[in-house]
Amino acid sequence: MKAILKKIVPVLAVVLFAQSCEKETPKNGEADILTFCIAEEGKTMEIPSSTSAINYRLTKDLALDSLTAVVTISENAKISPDPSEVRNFSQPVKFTVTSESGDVHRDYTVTVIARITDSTSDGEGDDGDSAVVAPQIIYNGYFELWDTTGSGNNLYVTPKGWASANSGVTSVHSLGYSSIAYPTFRTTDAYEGNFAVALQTRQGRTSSIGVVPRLIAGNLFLGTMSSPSLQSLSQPLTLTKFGIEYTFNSLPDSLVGYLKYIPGPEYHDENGNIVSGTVDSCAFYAVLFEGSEPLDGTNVQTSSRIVALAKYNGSTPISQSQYTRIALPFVYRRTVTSTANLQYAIIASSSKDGDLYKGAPESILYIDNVNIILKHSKKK
Amino acid sequence: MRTTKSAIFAFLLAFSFQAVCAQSAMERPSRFEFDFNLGLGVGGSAPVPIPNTISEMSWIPELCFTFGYNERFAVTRSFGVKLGVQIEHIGMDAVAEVSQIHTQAIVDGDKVEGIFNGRNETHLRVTYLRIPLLLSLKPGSKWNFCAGMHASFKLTGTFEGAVSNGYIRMGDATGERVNIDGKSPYPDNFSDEIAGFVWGPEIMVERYFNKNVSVFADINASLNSVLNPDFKGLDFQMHNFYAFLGTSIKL
Repeated sequence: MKAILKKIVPVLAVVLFAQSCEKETPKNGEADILTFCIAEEGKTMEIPSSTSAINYRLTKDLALDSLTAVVTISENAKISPDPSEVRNFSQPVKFTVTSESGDVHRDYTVTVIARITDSTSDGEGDDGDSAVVAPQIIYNGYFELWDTTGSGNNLYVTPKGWASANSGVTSVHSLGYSSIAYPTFRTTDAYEGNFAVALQTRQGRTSSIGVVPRLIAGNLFLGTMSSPSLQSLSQPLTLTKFGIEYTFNSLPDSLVGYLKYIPGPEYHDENGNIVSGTVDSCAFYAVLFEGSEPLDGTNVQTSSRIVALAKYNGSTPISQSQYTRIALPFVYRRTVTSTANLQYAIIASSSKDGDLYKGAPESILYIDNVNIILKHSKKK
Repeated sequence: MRTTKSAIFAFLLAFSFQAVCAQSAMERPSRFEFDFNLGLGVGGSAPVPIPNTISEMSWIPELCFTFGYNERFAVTRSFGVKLGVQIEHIGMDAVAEVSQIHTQAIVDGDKVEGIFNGRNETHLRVTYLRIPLLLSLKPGSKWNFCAGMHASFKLTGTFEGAVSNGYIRMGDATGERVNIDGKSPYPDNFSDEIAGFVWGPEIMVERYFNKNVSVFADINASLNSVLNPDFKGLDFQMHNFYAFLGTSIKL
């Protein structure tokens, strides 16, 4: 018996344990820009894994033609050109990140958005109201500039400087629902210019279980869409981070936009049951709030930090066939004397209660020429 | 289903051999030996070599067993051929830190697929009908050294596991990064991906205590993967390495 064991034990040991000796870890296959910062501005921006278009907003008055970028990238990856060299950001700049493993490349397009102030006008004025000639102060509020993300079936577009829940739909595709079209997209059916943005409510999960929502409303907002964890896909309200820095010296007077809306034929409740007699309606509102932290879907209309809200309540009917100008006054909940430490967001959705998974699949909202009119320009 | 049919076929084949042997045995009883055996063992199923995408692996053995019936035909005084039919249950649990492995997982009923970094745990249980065909060297009355091949047909099997404490890049390394905090199990169909047939080398050493009773040690491995070759759920092959100690009784 001893003799047998003497023979067997070494063989066993070799077979079972020789494999487990230490080895070098594999070369990293990731090629991401994790954070981006313009050194002269100093504000570091986290880059969601799904995005390859970095839109960096300046809050300081800086010349775009000589800025320095500071990036962090995936471990041991390489980036070119060298971001630390001073360069001209007056046009979008392309950076390529190559993974440590060498076989994965990601191209990033960095757009630095100059600070827009009360006196800046980078577009035509809003002439819908003859009494007001207000400069366009929302970056890309006329939706002429677009970013492309992903490829193939996972390709979607986003108006530059805006965010949508489209990245969440990429996750939904990965969960086997690859036929669900992106709810936020570009249309040439514009009020003015070449493009407008279209938001369309999609039918989501049809099975009784799963993390995929039953209804996915098209949305568009100023802020960032954070990367989901799988578990958080079922609580998507926390993923939409609303708000960008309020850089104007005057407080907002009203939110203006041109909308067209066609509600879908069948209104669904949160369980996917059809509710007859209910017609879907859209959401279009702007919120001004205090603090440096963003709001999210759970508190965007209820937070105690909210200073003012301008909200479409259905009182002006929106045509189904042509763009209707909607002007919404900011209703102040309290008085603020300074515009420092304020953020604002503009939010639109093709189903008003889409955040509660209620709405009509196929409801479509077209939006163009969104702007904010400031109090001082109103007086002019 | 096809696997079960192959197993039955192999079983019948082995028994027809036995019938032939038995018939011959009556004519020349000295050339044939028959025995029943029972053994217990441990082992593992792992990629070979273990890729550098797997680190900090811990292995929890499952008590494995084998039992069956063997025949030895003596070709010369020392050399012979041994053929058997064994029912063999193997299995193991493994927990490993993995980086950049391609996998699938279920989250609340939905399947995700991509490149995973984090903790991976695996539970494998398979019962095979194993047919060993070995050359046997019996230098005296005490020892029997055997080496050869085995063919093993899956009777039942489960392959389960989960990923946790990490993140997955959906689709490929540039896909959306999604955190996986809690345990997300493998899809149910991973069990269907256990290969119906594995084969490989086998060695066996037998020590006789008397004319009828012996103890044996047996090691068998699989050259093909315990998982189907076209299985895309995990991006590595797993090979069986199992060792048994037992006793056999000559009839």
